[in-house]
Amino acid sequence: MRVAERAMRVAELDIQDLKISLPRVDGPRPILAGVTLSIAAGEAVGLVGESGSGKSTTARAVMRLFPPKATVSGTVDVAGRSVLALSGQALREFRGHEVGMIYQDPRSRINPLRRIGDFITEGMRDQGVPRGDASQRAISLLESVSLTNAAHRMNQYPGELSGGLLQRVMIASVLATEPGLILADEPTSALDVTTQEEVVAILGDACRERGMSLLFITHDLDLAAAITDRIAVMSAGLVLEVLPSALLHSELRHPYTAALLLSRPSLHARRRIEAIPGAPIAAYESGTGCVFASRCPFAIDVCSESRPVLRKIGVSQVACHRAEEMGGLIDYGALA
Amino acid sequence: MRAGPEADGRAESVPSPAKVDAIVDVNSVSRVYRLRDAGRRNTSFTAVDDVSFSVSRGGSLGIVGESGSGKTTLARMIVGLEHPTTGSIVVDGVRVDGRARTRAARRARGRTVQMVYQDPYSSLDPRQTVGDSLDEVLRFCFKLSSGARRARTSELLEQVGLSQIHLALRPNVLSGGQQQRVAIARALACTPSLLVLDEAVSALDVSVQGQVLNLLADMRSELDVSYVFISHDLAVVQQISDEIIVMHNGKVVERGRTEQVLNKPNDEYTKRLIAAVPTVGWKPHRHGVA
Repeated sequence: MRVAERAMRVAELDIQDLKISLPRVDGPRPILAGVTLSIAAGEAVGLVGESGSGKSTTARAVMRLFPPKATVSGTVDVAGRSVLALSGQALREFRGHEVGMIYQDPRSRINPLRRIGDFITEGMRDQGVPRGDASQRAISLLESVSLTNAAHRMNQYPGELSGGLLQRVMIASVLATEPGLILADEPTSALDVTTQEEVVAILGDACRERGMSLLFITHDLDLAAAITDRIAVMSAGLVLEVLPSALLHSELRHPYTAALLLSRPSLHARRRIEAIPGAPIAAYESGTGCVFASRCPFAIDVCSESRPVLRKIGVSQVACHRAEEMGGLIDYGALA
Repeated sequence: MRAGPEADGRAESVPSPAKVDAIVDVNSVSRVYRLRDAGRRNTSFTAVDDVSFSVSRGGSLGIVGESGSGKTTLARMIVGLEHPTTGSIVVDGVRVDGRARTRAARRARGRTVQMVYQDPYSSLDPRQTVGDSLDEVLRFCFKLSSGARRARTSELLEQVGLSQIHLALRPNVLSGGQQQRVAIARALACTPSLLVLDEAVSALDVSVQGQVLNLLADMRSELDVSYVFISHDLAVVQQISDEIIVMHNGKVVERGRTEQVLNKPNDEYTKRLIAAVPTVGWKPHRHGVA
């Protein structure tokens, strides 16, 4: 029933021109410079970028969590409701039941002094589910994230579980309240690669089965491409490109997306890495032009003068002055 | 100090007979930790289990494995921060599997092998400027005049792609990539014959990681230095190592030429490790319950 309800809506998450800045003695310092991003019901979107690009700030803004003293403009709608207008009890219920957040380090997010069972049933108990029913559901949720001996795990403490198992507990706890949207902020970056495979497979299955939307934040483009429907690439507080994940390597048009792919070493053949010169810049350092202009091999005069806006070209949205010609300039053969 | 362009490409070529001798020789090394479990019974944990390998002079060995596989314990034993329970380790002709008893012996070790850690922010002294931190190593290792140390400091900075303006800066104003370059310069200051890099590029952003990997490849062909490169990231290891060993639960499960192991793995665990790396067209699979 809830799945059917969700399918009726167009967008589960809709962020329009979100700007966040912090007060500094020399004036406001922008950290998000106008983020526009939407996720349809049941869709999985990967948000990819280097550190400081604003990925986590964007995800936290969906929960209406802002840094202290931040100035915010733009809109954030979840299931048609304006998140920025929420406060008090309505905000608490929204955070508790409408969206679920999965963090990079489950160990620092789960109370080490309470049992796994208490952690998972907390949200359900808050919704008024009787203790016995909540426990039964918690056990079946733990089984659905491939934990053996779930009844026994319920009585264990977080310190007794490995990072990979604890991240599954985190996923189970988020599924418990059946949110329409899951925000996963680098959920596997601290895990071993074989554990990562298991955890992203579990997370992907869980979202698909329940028709939940997923915002998956990562710095790994290939990982994002493998488990999401669309990819959004961020840098310096802006979304530079959005495109279908399956077409990442063949249809990308932004030079930054191409540069990110080229700067990763290949697993099977050694070639000299085409490293991006310089370091990623922050939103407040980006000036008036394109945020990638100073590091871009294709930059022309206009790139450092005016900022390109995100516009639709073919299957993608691209914020690049030369987006139309990039198809002929990027060496797609080197990307695969 | 700097070799000319004719030395380029040495990394790919076959080692000449003069370089065949080993810079590191690890022979049947095990490291067992004694623990007391919850019931206060004495138990033991074998972190490294009967590991043997050697690295030829000028070579680069990658050690890959997941957390708990024993790779960092092995690294710490090679630099002499820990000692094997059984077995022997010889670095540049000197045994390092016991304590360095004298100041001179410790100094000699420092000049032979140096380590670069994952997090440069915690391995550099936050109160020391870049210049002072390099100068300290030079004073420790060599008898040089202050003028000669200054010249050497500039040379080191240039080698790692930094410049004079960084001399007076402290780590907190440097980016992560710049900090790691300083850590590499500091490790190279006393011209060690071996560099042990423990997840040295893992904390860096993708674009900066590429720069540091290129830098490490260049340094090896320019300077007379060998690498033991430890990482969980197979693609990064492939970029920097001629040979690799794959570790699992303290044991070596597979070894060989890097491209051989990564393209035609024999061991089941190595296969699983490679299959779990996201690449073009990769899809995650659930392997079962845990």
